[in-house]
Amino acid sequence: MRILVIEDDPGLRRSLSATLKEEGFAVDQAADGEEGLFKASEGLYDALVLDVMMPKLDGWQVLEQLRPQHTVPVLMLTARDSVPDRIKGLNTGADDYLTKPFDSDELVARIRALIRRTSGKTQSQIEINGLLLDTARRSLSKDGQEIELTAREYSLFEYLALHRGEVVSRSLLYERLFDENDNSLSNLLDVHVSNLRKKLGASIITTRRGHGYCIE
Amino acid sequence: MKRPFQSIRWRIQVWHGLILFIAIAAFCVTAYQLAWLNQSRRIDREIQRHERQLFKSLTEANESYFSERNNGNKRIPFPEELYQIFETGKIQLPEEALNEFSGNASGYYYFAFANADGELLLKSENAPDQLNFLPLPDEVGMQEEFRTLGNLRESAHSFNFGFRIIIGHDIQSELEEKHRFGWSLGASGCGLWLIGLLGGWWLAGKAIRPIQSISQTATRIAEGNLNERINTAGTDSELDQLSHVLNHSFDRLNAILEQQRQFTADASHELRTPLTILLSESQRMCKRGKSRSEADYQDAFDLCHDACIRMRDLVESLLLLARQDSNSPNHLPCDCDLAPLIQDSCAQLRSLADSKDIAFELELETCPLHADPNLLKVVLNNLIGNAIQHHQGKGHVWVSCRPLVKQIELTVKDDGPGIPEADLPHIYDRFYRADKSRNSQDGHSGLGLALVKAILQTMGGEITVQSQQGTGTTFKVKLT
Repeated sequence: MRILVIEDDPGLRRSLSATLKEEGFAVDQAADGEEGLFKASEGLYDALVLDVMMPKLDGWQVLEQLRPQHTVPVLMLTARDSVPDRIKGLNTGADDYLTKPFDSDELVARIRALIRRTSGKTQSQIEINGLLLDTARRSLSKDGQEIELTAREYSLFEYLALHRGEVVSRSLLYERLFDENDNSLSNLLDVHVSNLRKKLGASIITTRRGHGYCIE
Repeated sequence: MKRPFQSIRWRIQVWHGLILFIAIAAFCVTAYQLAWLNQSRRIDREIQRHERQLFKSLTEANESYFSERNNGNKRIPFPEELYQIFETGKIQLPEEALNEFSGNASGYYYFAFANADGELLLKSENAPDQLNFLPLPDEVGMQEEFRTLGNLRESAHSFNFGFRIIIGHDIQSELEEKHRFGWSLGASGCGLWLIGLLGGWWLAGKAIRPIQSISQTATRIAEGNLNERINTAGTDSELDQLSHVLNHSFDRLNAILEQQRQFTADASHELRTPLTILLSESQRMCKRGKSRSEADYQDAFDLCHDACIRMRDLVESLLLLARQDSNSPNHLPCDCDLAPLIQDSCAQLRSLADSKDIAFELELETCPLHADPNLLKVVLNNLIGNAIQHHQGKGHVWVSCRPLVKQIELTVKDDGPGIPEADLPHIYDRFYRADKSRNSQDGHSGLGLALVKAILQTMGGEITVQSQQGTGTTFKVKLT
């Protein structure tokens, strides 16, 4: 899952990014509305975290220019907590709203819920070939036994599970799972996939040569 | 609901009723009196006419006696002469006079004559038994009196030669008429009064209605509906003027409240971002605490520390501002000199200036003044700090102070980018920043100039600004 954090305050931007990264998201940052709009327009992200008060372009303007071409879920962060402001945010096309100061667990939970909703799943638990994926707890278990996964491995599995039945290309996986500052080697993805196969069994993830990976 | 007699409407009504009652009563009494006076005069004239008639008929009846004495000249005799006939006892009584002065039918007339000793010389048979003749006059020839005895009206005469006359008239019907008139006057007076009261009640209500509407609106405003205003669409009456004054006060109060609300909202808004950083970083650190590297912790603590400093600066500025607002005498003025304070300030800001390659140009004269040096430092730090922070780098900041007559002039000038013209009127507004981002990363809370202005106001100083985009900004402060 790749997320773009558009926030002008450098301290908060750093803190948010660190929190989200630790939760297994790939995180890109933008320091103002213009940069944020530019990055978001590429369409690489599973969700946007958008601050309202920003220089150059504020949150509303970014949202207005982004919609309706891009349907990426947007969570707005604002220091204003009046009802008209919330209504304005939701009317402009924001999918959710959080008022500063907020609990970072709540932020993460809301982002997950947003992503889940856009991928058409309403439940946080997904059952795949005898494996139980809990997106809320970020855990994978088999017969009640939890399987230890690294954050990257989990993200990879979750992405494939949420797009079950689709063939996900390697480049798309790179885009979604690694942020712009990751200059990983190109075979890093293969390492993660082979690790997952070791832990979960070889049949769970199929490789379509020349296309990508898929969970049937 | 108020007690009825406390309301203005009732008071107006009571006073109006009282005054109206007095006026109507005075009018009725006067009318009654005038009418009776008129009636009495008419009755008296009537009595006099009957008296003359009686005399005339007496003369005619005793014509032979008078023509003898007057050698045939016909005239109405003097009472003395009439008296003489009575004395002689040979008086003839005329028939018609007797018809006129007889009977007890309503409105009858009677007469009586007496001599000096009170002996009755002659009276009509219907005259009452008790007759009060006038006493004889002392020297003047005649005494005359009209009087009312019960339901009788009498005209009494007495002459100094001993002749006394009473002509009387029954005024029963007139008295009854007078009573009837009195009652009808009273009734119509009461009716008029009631109509007046009703009219007064209506008028008082009409006069009071705008007040009621004003008070209702004011109540609604007091209940928190601050945007409501009193309807002033009417004539330009005193109440309308009152409404205008009230509306104006409401506007001002509302503006002050709005300003206060905005200030509180801004203050909490400014505190929210550092709070969020603190919350999110501390939460992050609490999770998976053991697997973290030292550098990770260091990073988080740095972030938290920065956030805390921002909050501290903000809270201090707010407190200082609140103290200036409350005008409490919390500053301690003493005799000090502005020049060394400026040097201190510049020394503090030197490293920041060096990092942006900005040179200080100081031109300081001794400027003794009586003020709180700590507040002066706040002013200096803000003005000089702003000049450096808003500078694009590589330039100068000029600071000078010099004594004028009874005043001290401080000038802070820079060759930075200048302030856009649209922002100039707002630079002293609280939380106003020329860029709308509310980006406080460089240490601006948007309170600096507001604080400077507030401090100078309590000190009795003033501040002016000149700025041109591209060439720089000059702040001039005058302190007394």
